[in-house]
Amino acid sequence: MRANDVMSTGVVTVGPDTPLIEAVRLMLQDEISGLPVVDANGRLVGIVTEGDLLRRHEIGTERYSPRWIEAFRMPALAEAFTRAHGRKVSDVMTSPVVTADPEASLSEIVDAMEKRQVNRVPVLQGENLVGIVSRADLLRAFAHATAAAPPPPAGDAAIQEKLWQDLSKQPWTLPATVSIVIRDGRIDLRGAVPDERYRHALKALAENVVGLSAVEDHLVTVPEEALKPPMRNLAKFLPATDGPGLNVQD
Amino acid sequence: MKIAELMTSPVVTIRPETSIAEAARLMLDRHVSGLPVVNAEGALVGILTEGDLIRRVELGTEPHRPRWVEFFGSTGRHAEEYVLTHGRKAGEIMTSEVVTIGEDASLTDAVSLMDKRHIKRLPVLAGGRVIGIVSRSDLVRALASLSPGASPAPATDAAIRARLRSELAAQNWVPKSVTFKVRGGVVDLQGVLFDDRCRGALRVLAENVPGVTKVEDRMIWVEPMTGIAIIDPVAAPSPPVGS
Repeated sequence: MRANDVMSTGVVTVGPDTPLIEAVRLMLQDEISGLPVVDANGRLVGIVTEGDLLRRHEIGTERYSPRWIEAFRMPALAEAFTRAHGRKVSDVMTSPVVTADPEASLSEIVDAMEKRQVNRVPVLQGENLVGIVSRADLLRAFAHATAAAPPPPAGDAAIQEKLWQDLSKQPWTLPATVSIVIRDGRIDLRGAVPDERYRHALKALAENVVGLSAVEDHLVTVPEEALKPPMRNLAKFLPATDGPGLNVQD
Repeated sequence: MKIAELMTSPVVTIRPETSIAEAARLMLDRHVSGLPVVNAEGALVGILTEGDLIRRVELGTEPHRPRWVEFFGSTGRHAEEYVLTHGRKAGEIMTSEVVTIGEDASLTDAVSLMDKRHIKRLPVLAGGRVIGIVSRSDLVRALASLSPGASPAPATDAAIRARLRSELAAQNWVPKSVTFKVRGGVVDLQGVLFDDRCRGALRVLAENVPGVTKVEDRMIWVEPMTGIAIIDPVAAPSPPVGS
């Protein structure tokens, strides 16, 4: 999926000279957390977001710093004053803006969001603002994708094959001490894992094959040393199983 | 203003065994970006947010690394990452270290916590129970309700002058070299600045004085290292073409 598959279009924008209170009302009314700022020529010059509105004199949240620090950073204080008291969008907006191309992949967008700590990325076609991808847009795409998930494979043999396929694609490997029992469309996880993280990963993998309610977890966590050959200590940790590996019981 | 006055309450919560598909629908329907996760006893055990749902195999956004990097990583960590990108229950992928706040905390406490921890919402706890949640949008709503409405009644130039003088004296970043004149509600700022960031701040300060209708900026920025005077680059007339 790409940016233009998930972005919101018909983006609400404001100008640099728009009164801040008007921008705030727009955000509340439309339930959006950020507004791109465009100049008279339609060029993107900044973005004003909830994060830009947290340090304000109206709600008494201006940044405070001790007197002795203040003497060293007067210009920074002047800037903080502008952000806390300014009445125009341009006084508080964030600039420059992290933007994306309509063809950008969702991975690139999520990378940019995490690295630059932003919650929305305006999409530019050349110089024109054509849309915006917010975290909510990604969430919507995720909700659609999960709703359209393929049905679980029919028959225990098909389940087994799918499970093997998915396991072989992982950079982590199935511990040899785990046994997976597939019966009547249900997956039963048995045996020992060296680490809780394997238990969670195995459960998640199995749940992705047959669904949330069809997986049973009888795994026990055993410290790695106990699993090393000659596995003298193993027996006392393990419930009765059909031995390591993947079995289909009929 | 205290947290209890502006928090959203009651809160939509989910259980660790809630499927994330259901959680995502709930977030979209209720226009919230995060859901506290509580156990059967009603205790807070985690929080599921938009940020937890954007690195997912369904979106093709799970992290990809070259094979040689994977070779060096611990497989336990890969297993953990697999759960985060493939897990289907809230309890598997939620953030379990939740930053919370008390109902008597101030808004400044809330904003500082959000800033420092890079988070957008704080569950409000009282007696170990979640009684509300305060998000950035709650703060923006408070801002909207506390902003002054229509511009206040006109003031005399003398009143503006006195107010402006006291406001300037209250700030610790105002250069001594800046002076002003007030005529007919118009403030004329003059003098020398050694840092251009003071320019916007002085304009904002004057604009906020009741009765001021316009602010004229005639201040000159002198670069302190070189002593070069720079007239406001926007206001300065551009040199004629070809000169």
